[in-house]
Amino acid sequence: MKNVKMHNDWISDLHDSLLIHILSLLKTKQAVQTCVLSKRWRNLWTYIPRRYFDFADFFSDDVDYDDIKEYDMKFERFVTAVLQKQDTPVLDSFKLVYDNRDGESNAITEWILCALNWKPRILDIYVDRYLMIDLPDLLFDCKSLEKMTLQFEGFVYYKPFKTGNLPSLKKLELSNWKIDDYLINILMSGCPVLEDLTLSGCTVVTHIISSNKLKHLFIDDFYFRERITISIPSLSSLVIHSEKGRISLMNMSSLVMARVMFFSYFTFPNPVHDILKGLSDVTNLEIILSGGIAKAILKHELSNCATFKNLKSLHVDGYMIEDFHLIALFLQHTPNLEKLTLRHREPHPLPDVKPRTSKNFPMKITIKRKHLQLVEIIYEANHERVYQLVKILHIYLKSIGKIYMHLEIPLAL
Amino acid sequence: MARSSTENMITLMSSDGEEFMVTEKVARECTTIRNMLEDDCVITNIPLPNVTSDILSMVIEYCMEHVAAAEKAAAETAEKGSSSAPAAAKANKDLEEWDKAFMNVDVYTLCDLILAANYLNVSGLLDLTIQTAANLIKGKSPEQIRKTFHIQNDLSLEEEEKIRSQTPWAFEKSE
Repeated sequence: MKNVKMHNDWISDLHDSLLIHILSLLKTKQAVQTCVLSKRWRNLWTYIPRRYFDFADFFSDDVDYDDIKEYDMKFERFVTAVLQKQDTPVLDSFKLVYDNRDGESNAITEWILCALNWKPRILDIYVDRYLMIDLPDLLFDCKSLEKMTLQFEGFVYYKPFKTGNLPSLKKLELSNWKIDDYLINILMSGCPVLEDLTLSGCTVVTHIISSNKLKHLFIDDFYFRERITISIPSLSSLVIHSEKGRISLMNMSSLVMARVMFFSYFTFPNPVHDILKGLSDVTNLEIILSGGIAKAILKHELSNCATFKNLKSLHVDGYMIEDFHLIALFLQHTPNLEKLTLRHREPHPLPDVKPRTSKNFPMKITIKRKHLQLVEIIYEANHERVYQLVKILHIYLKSIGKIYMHLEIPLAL
Repeated sequence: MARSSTENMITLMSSDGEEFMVTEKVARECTTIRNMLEDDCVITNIPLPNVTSDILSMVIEYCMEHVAAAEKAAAETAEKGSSSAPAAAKANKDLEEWDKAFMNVDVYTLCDLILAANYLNVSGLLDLTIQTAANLIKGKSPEQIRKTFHIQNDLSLEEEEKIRSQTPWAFEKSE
C-alpha cells in the first residue's frame, strides 16, 4: 500500500546520499537556495561534492551593461562565500563559467587556489573576458586532478606556468593556448598518465608533439606557424579538424581510428599534409574534404602511399560524388575494406559542370573485392548522381554486400 | 536473439506478495539481483520486501525495454557486420523518448522509483530518476520547489528570514 506515510513530503524522506546526488546535478546557486526549504534541507548543499558556478545565473543578456560591475560583485561574493562553506573532505569537481566580455575580475586566481585545497578530481574552467589571469603554479602541481579543462576565450591573458607535476591527470583540454616547445615539454614530462589531449583554437608554435603514452589526440581549429610533426607511437585515436596548418605524422603504429581534414588553404602541388603515410595501420579512417582542391591534395598523397592493410571502415565526407577516380584510388589502397561510407555534400554554389557519365571514367582497374560488405551513401540532393555512382560501383566492384542510401536534408543557413 | 523456452525464468516477489515472472536477463539488469544469482545460481524465487508491486512492475517494465533495445542493436550489428551510425542514433533517440515518457509520473511515484532503483541497483534507472528530480527543481524558487514536492516547511518565518540574512549572497537575483 502506498499511503502508509503520515505526510506527503516523500522526497525529504530519501536518504541524505540520494538527496545530495539530486542536488549535485544542479548548478551551485540553485543547490544553495534549497537551504530554506525546511530544516531537513538546511545544510545538505554543503555536502555536495561538486561546485558549478555560472555567471549566467547572476547576469542575463537583457540587463544593462552599465551595471555589470554590480553583477560581478554579486557573483564574486557568492563564489567566495560558497567556497568557504564546505563540509565534504574532498571535491569531486569544480566548474567555473565566467563569460561576458566587458567585466573585470581578479578573483579567479583565488577561487582556483581555494578549489585546489579541496583536492578536486575534475577542474573545468571557462573564462571569456578581457582580463589577465595569473594562473597559480599550484594548478600544475596537483596530485588529485584527473581531468582538467582550461578554456580561455576572447582576450584572456595568462602567465605560463613554471612547473608541471600532475601525476593523476588523464584528460586535458586546452583552448586558446599558445602551444610551444616549453609547454609540450612540461605536459609530457609532468603528466605521466596523460592519455587524452585536446587542443582547441590553440596557436601552435612547437615543431613536434611526441609522446609515448598519449592514446587520444584531438586538434581542433588551430593556428600554426610552421610544419608540425606528430610522433606518438602509443596513440590509438587521432582527430585533426582544422582548415589551417601543415602536419606530418610519424610513428603512429598503434593508431586505430583517425579523422583528418584535407583542405585547400595552400596551393597545390605543395602538399599541405603528410598525413596518410602515418595512417597506414588504422582500421577506421574518416576523411573530410574542405574546399575544391582538397581532393587533388588527397589524390596526390594517396598515389604516393602504401596500402592501408588494416583498414576496415572508410568514411569520406565532402563534395566528391562524381569523382570516381578518388574512390577508385581508395579502393585500390584498401584491400581489406569492409565498409565504405560516402557522405556527399553539395558545394555552394553548385559548379556549372555537367555530371560526367560512367563512360568518361578512364580507370582501368579491376578490384576483386572480397570483403566489402556495406556501402553507405549519404547525400543531400541530386539523386541522379547517386544512382550513377551506384552503377559505377557495380561496374568496378565484383561484389558488394549491401548498399544503403540516406537522403539528409542539410540545415538551412 | 529470440526468447527461447530454455531461458531461465526468475520469480520476483513484491512486498505486498505479488509475483512477477521475468527472464534471467531482465532480472540481471538489477545489480542487486545479479549479485544474488552469482552467489547462488539455483535461486529462482527472490522476495523483494522493500518494493511494492506497482513500483516493481514499473522497474521490470524499464528493464525489459532496455534489454530489448540492447538486443535489437546487437542483432542489427550482427546482421550488417557493423552498426549503421544513423540507425544507432535513431535507436538511441527512441530509447530516450521512451525514458522521457516513462518519467511522466507524479512525485510520489518518482520518489518510490528512486528508492527502488537505489535498492535494486539499476544504475540507468537511478540516473534517470535522479535527473528527473533535479529537473523538477531546476529554475524554481524555494516556494515553487516546496509546492512541487509537497515539502513541509518546518522553519518558522523568523528562522527562514534568519537563514536568508545569514546567506544573503545565495538569494541575489539576476534581474
